[in-house]
Amino acid sequence: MNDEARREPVLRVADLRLAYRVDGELRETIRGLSFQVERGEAYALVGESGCGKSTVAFAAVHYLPDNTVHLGGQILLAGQDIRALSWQQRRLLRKSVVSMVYQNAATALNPTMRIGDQIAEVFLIRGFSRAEACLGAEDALRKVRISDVGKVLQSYPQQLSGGMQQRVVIAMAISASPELIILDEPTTGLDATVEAEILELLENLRQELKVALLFISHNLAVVAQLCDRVGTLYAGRMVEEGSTSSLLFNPHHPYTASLLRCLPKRGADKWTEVLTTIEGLPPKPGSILTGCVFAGRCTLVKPECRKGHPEAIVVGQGQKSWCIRAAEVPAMAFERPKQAPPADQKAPPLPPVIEVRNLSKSYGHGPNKVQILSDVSFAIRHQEVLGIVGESGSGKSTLAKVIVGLEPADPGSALMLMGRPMARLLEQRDPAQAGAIQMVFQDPSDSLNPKHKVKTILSRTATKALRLTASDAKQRTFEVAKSVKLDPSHVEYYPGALSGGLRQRVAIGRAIAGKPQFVVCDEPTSALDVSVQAAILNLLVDLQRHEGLSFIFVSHDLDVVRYISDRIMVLYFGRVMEIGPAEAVFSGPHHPYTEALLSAAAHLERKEVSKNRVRLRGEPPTHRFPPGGCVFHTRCPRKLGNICEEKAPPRQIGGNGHEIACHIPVNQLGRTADAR
Amino acid sequence: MLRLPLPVPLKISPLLMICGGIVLFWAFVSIFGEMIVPHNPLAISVMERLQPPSAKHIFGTDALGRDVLSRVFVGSRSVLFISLAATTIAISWGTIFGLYAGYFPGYLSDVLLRIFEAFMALPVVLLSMVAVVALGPSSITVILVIGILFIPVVAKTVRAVVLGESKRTYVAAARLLPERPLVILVREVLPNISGTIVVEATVRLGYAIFITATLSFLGLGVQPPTPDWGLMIYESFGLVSAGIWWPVFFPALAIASLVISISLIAERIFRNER
Repeated sequence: MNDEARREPVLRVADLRLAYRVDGELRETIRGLSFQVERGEAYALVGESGCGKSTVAFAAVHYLPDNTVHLGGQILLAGQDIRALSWQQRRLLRKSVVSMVYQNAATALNPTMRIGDQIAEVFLIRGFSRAEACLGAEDALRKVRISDVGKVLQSYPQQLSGGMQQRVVIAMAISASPELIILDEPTTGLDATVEAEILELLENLRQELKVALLFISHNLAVVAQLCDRVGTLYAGRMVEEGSTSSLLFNPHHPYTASLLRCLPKRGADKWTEVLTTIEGLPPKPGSILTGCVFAGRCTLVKPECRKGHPEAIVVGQGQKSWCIRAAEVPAMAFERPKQAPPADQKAPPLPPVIEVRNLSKSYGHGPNKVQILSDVSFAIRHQEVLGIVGESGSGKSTLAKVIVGLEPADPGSALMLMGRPMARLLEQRDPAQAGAIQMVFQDPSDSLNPKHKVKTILSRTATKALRLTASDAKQRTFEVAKSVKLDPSHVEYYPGALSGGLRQRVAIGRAIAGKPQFVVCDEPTSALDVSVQAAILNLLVDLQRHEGLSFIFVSHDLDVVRYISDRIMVLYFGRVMEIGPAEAVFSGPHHPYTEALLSAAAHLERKEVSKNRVRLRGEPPTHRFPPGGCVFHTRCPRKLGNICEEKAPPRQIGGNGHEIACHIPVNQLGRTADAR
Repeated sequence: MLRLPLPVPLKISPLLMICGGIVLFWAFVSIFGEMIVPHNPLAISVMERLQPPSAKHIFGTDALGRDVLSRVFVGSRSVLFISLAATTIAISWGTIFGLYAGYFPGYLSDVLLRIFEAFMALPVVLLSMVAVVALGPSSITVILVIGILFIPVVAKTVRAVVLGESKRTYVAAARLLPERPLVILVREVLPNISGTIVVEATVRLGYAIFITATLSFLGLGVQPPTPDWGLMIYESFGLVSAGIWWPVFFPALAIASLVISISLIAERIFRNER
C-alpha cells in the first residue's frame, strides 16, 4: 500500500444510490448517501428500522442480495472502488481489510465446528500453517478477554452463552487484522450487563489494534458510549452528521432531536414527563421524495421544505445538518410536555387486584427437574404498574405466563384475584376470572392471527368477554380502536398489512377490549423502534390513568421500566432480589445485583459507563446445579463469606415497602452515584 | 399475478397450466363421458376385434371389439369418483385426528399416534387387497379402504403443523379470552393450516388414483363389464407380448397423465406454501 492510500479514509461512500428490484419494479432505498470513516475512527450510523442502515453495511463489503441495483455513486474501501474489483480482489479485501460482526452471533457461527477450528480457519485462509493458526486462535480469544481459553477452543457454539458467542465472533473479526470492522447491531439481543462488557471490549480493542469501526445501531445510548462520530440516516439519506457529543447533546436536525426525545430520560417517570413520539412512518423504499426526506413527519415543516433536497448547513465544529431550519432545532430539542401527577387518591383500601404468594414453577421430574421460579410473592394494587426486570433466564417471562395461567404454577403456589383464590391453570379458572386477566405479548406479528381482520379480532373479544350483541360489539370495536389510537380505517385490515407499532396497538386493544382488571405486558416494546416504543408507553400510561387498569410490565430495559412503573421487582435466577417503589429501587439502597444492572445500563447522560461499573463475575448459574444459600453468591461483588453460600438471605424491609433479599444490612448497601 | 382461489397464492406457470388443463380435461370427460364418446363403450363387435388405432377407432379396439377411446373416457368416472371420495374421507378424518393429537398432547394422543404408525408400517396395496377380499369387491369397499388407510398419513402431517401453530402466541391470546378449545382449533388454528391441508389433499388424490387403478387391475375394484382403467389393463395386458399394445397403452397413459399432473400441481402448491 503506498502513502497516498494510507492517507485515504478506510471507507468512503460517495453519493451512493441503491435500489432493490421487487416484482420488476425498482425501489430506491439509498438515495444519495455520502460519508467516510477515517482510519482508527469509530463511526456510527443510527436511524429507525427501514432507513437503510444494514443495506449500507452490506454494500460496503459488496455483499448484497442479487436483486440490488446500483443507481450511482461509489464505495471506496481502503481507497479501492469495491464495484470495480474482480471477485478475487474483493476476496482479498475481505480477507485482510474489512470484517463483519452480525447481530445474531448464534447464527453467525457454524454449529458443527468447534470454536478453535472456526477461528483457526480465518488464519488458514490468510495462508498460515495449521500450527500457527491454532496459536492465532488462542491469541484471538485472549484478546477478547475470554478467561478459560482452552475450554472455549474445544467447545461448540451452542455450548456458550450469547455474550460469549458474540466475543467469539469478534475474535474471528479481529483475527483477519482488519483496518475496518463493520458491526451490525452487535449488542441488540444481549442483556445490559453483557452489552456493557461487549462495549468495553470493543473500546479496548479499538485502542489496542487501531482499527476503525462502522457501528450500525438503533440504540443511541450505546452509540454515545463507543463512537467518535455519528451519522443519522433517514430514508436512505444522511440528515445530520457530527461528533457524538455534539450531535447527541446538541442535535440540529428535527429527526435526530425527535429520536432523542422518544427515549425516557434516566430517572424520568410517567407523571412528570410525556414521551414525544414521531408521527407517521418512514417513507417506503421506492417512494418518490422531492423535498426533504423527513418533511412528512417533521414538526417544523414549512412549504419550502418540500422543494428540493436541503443543502448541508454547518452548525458547529464538524457538525452538519441537512435542514433549512437547523437553527431552530435546539429550541425544540429537549422540551417535553409535562403532565400533572394524578391527585393523590386516598382510596378505600381495596384488596389487591392480584396477589401472589409463594409462587414456584419447575419443569421436569426427578433428576431432570429444573426450578425456574422459587417462592415469589407480591401484590399489585388497583391502578398500579409493577415493573419486572432481570436478565434473560431470570424467569421474567415464565412468571408472566404462570400468573395468567398459560402454564400452571407448582402445587402450593397461591394466586388471588380481587381477594378470591384462582386455579393455577387457566382452563380450570372460572370464565369470569380467566377473562379478567389479559396479556400483551412481545411480538405482535405472532400474537395476532394473520387470518383475521383487526375488527374480527377486537369484536370477538368484546362479544365474548362482555356478552355484547353484534351491533354493540361493533360499537365497542370502534371505541377500543379509538382508545388505542388506531385509525377507524385500520379495523378493516389484516394484521399483515399494518406496521409493527400499529400491530402492537391492535394487540393492546384486544387485551383491553373485554374490560379486564389486569393486563400482563411481556416485553411489549422490545421488538419496536424507539419512536414507536414511546407511543406505546404513552398509550399504556393513558390506559392506566383513564381506564383504571393495573399492569405487570416485563422488560429488560431499565429506563423504560423506571418510566412506566409505580413499583419494580428485580428477579435473578427465579428469585425476587428486590421489590419496592420505582423511585426507591432506582435511588437505593440497592441489592448488589440491582446495583450491577443499573451501573451496566448504557444511557445517554453518562458516557464513562465502563470506568466505575459494578462488574459481575462469571456466567449465570445453570438450573441443573443451582447454587445454595443466596443464588447470587456465585457472582456477587459484595459477597460476605460462608453465610451467603449456606443461608438464604432474609427479606429486609426498608421504608415504603422496599424489600431487599440480602445478608448485608440495608444501611451498608450501595447507591448508584447518578440516581436521583 | 393471477391468483387461484386457494388459501395459498399460486403463480401460474406454463407447466402448471398444462397440468391444470389435463386435470380439468379428465374432470370434464368423467362428468360428460357417455355424451361425448364416439361409440358405446359397452358395445361388443365381433367383426372389429383388436383393431389398431384408425380414423374410426382412434385408440383402436379391444379383444371384444369395444372402442378403447370410449372406454378410457367413460372409465375415468369410476377412478376419479373413487379417489375423490377416498381423499375426502382421509382428509376430513385425518384433519380431525391431527388437530386433536396436535393440540391435546397426552396419553390418548400417544395411543392414537402409535396405532397410526402401526398402520403406516404396513404396505398399503397389500392391506387394501386383504380388506377388499374380506369385504367383497365393490366401489364402496374400495373408497372406504383407501380412505381409512390414508387417515394416519394425513393425521400425522396435520398434527405436525398444529404442534407448531399452537405454540404461537395468538393461540395463547385466544386461551386467555377464554375461548373453548374447539373454537380455538376451528377459528384460530384451522385457517392457518389450510395451506398444508390443500397440499396434503392434492398429494393424497394422486396416490388414491394410483391405488384405485392398482386394485381394479388386480380385479378387486369395479367389476366387468363397467369400463375402468385398471380393469382394462388387466383384461388386455396378456396381449402386449403379441404386439397388441393399444388396449393397454391408452388406459395406462390416462392414469399416468392424471397422476403426474396432480403430483406436479401438489409440488408447486407446496413450494408456494413454504
